[in-house]
Amino acid sequence: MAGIAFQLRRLSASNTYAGQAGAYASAAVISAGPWMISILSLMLLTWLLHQVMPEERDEIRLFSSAVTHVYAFALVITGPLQILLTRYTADQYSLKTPERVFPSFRGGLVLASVVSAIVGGVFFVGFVPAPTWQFQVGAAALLVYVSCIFVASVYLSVLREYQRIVFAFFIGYGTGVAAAWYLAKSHGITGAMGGLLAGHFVLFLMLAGSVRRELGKGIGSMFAFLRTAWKLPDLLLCGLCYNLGIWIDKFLFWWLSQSNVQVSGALHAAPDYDLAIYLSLLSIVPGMAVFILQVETSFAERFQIYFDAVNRGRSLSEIIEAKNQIILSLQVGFRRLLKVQGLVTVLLVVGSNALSSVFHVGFVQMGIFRITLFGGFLLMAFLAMQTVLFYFNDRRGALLCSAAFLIANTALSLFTVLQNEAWYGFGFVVASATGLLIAATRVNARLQDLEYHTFTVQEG
Amino acid sequence: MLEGTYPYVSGGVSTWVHQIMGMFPELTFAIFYLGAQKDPQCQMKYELPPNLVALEEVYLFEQKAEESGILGGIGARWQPFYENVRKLGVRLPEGDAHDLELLRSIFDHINTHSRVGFDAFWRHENTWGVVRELYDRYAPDDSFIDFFWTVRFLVQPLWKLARAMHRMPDARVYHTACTGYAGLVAALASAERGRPLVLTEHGIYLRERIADICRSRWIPDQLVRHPNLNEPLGNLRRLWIGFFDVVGRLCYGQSADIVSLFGKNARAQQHFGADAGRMTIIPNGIQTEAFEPVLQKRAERRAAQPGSQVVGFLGRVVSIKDVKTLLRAAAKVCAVLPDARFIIGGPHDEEPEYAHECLALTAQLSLQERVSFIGPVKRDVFLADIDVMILSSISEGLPFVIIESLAAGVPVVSTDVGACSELLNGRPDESPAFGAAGLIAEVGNSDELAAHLIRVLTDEALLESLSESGVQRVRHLYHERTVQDAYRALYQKHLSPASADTEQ
Repeated sequence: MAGIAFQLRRLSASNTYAGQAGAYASAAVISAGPWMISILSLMLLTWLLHQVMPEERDEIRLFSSAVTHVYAFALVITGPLQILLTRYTADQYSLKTPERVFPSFRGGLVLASVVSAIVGGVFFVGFVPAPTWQFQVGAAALLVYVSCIFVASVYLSVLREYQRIVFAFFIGYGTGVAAAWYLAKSHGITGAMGGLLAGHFVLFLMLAGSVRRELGKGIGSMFAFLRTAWKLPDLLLCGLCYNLGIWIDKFLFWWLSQSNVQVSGALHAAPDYDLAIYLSLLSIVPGMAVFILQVETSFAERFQIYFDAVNRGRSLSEIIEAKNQIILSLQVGFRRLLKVQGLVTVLLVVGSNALSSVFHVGFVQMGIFRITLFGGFLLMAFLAMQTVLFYFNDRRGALLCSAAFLIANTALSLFTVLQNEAWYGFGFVVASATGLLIAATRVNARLQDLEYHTFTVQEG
Repeated sequence: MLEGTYPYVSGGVSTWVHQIMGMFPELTFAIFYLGAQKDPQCQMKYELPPNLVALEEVYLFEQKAEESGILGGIGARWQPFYENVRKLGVRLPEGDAHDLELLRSIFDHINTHSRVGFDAFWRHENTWGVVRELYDRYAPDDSFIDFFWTVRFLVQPLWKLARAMHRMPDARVYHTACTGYAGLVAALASAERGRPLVLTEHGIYLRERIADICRSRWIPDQLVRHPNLNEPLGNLRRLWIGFFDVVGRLCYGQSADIVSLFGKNARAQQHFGADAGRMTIIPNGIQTEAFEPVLQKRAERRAAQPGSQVVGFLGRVVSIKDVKTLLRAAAKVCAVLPDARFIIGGPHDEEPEYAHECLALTAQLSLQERVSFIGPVKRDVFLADIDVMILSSISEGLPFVIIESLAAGVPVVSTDVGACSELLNGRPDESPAFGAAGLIAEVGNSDELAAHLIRVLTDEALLESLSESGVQRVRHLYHERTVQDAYRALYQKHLSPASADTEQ
């Protein structure tokens, strides 16, 4: 009977189900934080420049429009990269190979710099006539810096060094705005651009230094993270769709709205739409803060408890109980988000008349602002839902709603921009609502049979 | 139908398979071989006979890319399939002949939907539903992740088998050398093609699996946490055992003839669900004439070296042979008899770690001078060179090594497992009684083994009488002719075209 003994396959002890815990909470921060800070500081700087050189309205418009384009390009360029690096870094930590993280930072910087330099060089030097060539080159350089700053923020977000990010941004932008203001006095907008560059340089040094201190030198290939892109192309696409989706309506309005202004060469602006939408995006800060707090504390903790229950061999009823705790926490989080953001939005709509005098907002802009406020509210909820989708590793769902958001925002904004001012902003509102609706449906479905998805998860 | 044996693994079953094919050159044979994983380094251990016309190999625990398939392929037409799967899962503990039909329809379905891979099936929500239902039924308080993977590992080989069924050769008679996976496909093939099934069990498959499962540390239920044999078995272990139990009963139920090698095993088969009316005993047999020269050489050597005290072990150095107890017994023998030597012949490659431990134990007992591990050897030379054979197994069927030793006139000291006692002392109903051909000790008792060895090695008259009884018993009861006649009768009964009808 010697040979019959069958080698029963060993149950490998490492059948563990990893929740991509933690890493994705920061997705909200990294995609939300930078553009909020960019809007705020740009507004402040524009206001300061008006004080310094009140006669040069066209030049100031060129400056602010150029900086806005820099941020838009940087977000679209690094959006996919950010999400990719976030995932790669999280993977390395769960694989217990943290030494591979730092090389990916260098690789990310190289990639972001090269692409940004090409895009910025071609666009600003080639298509945007400016008073000085230094301004053109400065704008292209700013794009490189901003992209690198976004890349560095990824790592500090994953490391949960939010305070450091905020501190660095604060110092960097403080320096930048102050230097720009000072240099503008003697060199006009070229000086302002130089000052802003200096501030970004300080900011980048601070962020990169923190990353280096936290991660050490590391070993391994700089571009190993690109293999993740090859394996998970949907992740890349999702980052692209989402960031392009956020900016596509602005691009369309810059180019096509009746009130659009050709600032200089390829540089366009839509003053009516821009201010309204930037103010709306600023309005979502409170909701964002509340949601991130909830995700970082209660939700992340229960998420971990759930996966512990799965991996440590709890019974199914205990696993489902842990899942219900996640649902509960999400319900509380969203209710809080809706309450806070709802209150903020309502207050702003009601108080918009008072605001208009403070910010010199015109009648048309005010009308658009009231509409886009709701858009901002919906976008906030959409962003929150998408973060949850990332937590549940529903990449397909995240891609689906990002793509829907992009397509809706493109199509509807195109439609509204071809109508008249009365329509402006509705495209953004409906697109955000579409994204939110799909994301919420996916979240709901995911939660319904989370345990099924947990156990039948595909690799990655 | 063979599971993990001929032609890749040497041992009792493989020897028997080779022998059977050699006995009936007028018949053609096809082998359906089931293995765990394909080992590209594994060489065939036998020269395949010319009347072996096909060798199909199926590996049950191999991960292949083809396993993953599209998810979309599972639609409404799978409803009856899932209904059957659910039914099978629910009725699993009973396992009667009706379930073979159920299994057949499940296998058929899998075969006709070859575009859906196992992964697609396993990830489908219908499958999930069935798994959850079974969990609630069989192990509602157990670790779900462990249950989930246990079920997966139970089901995956079945899927593989279903996919391999079309490679099953058409045969007049299906003959399986064990129950288990091989017995299952044999039963299915026999039922599907309306041809009779013969089962020859050398060991008792289910009993071996139960021993494996109870000992195994990879089943993560309570036994590991509280390793105490008096505790009831955990649900996951019960599930594994239950699976092999049902599979065994399906095979017993379909078999027209159920053969065992000796009385003890026949009783075990009956205990595990075989029908006594279909059971026969056909022992292993050898050509005793071939051993005459060995017998001669041995006598000459012993005459030349009076007082020679060489103990031999011939077999794979593996844990089931309990070579460590043998070594402990050797230490005790060597302490008493300064001239005694031990020769361990047989391959080390099956459980290299265990073989290594045995070598280490030899060194630890300071036996390097007295015990030599000589690896694979030529049986005839080996048998002529030793005075006593020792077998310390914790489990055996009807070991060829004992029959061959006896045929060569070598007395045997053996543990009381399988047919060893029957071979050495004769069956209770043996007539004429040939007398003792060796001594029997308790399993794992190195003191008793050592005492028996010392007795045989020091008592020349006893040794000669044991030797003589052995030669006579094997000549009369374990000759190849006996086996050949029995299987000829069996095959003839089933080969006739009409036999299929009478079976039904």
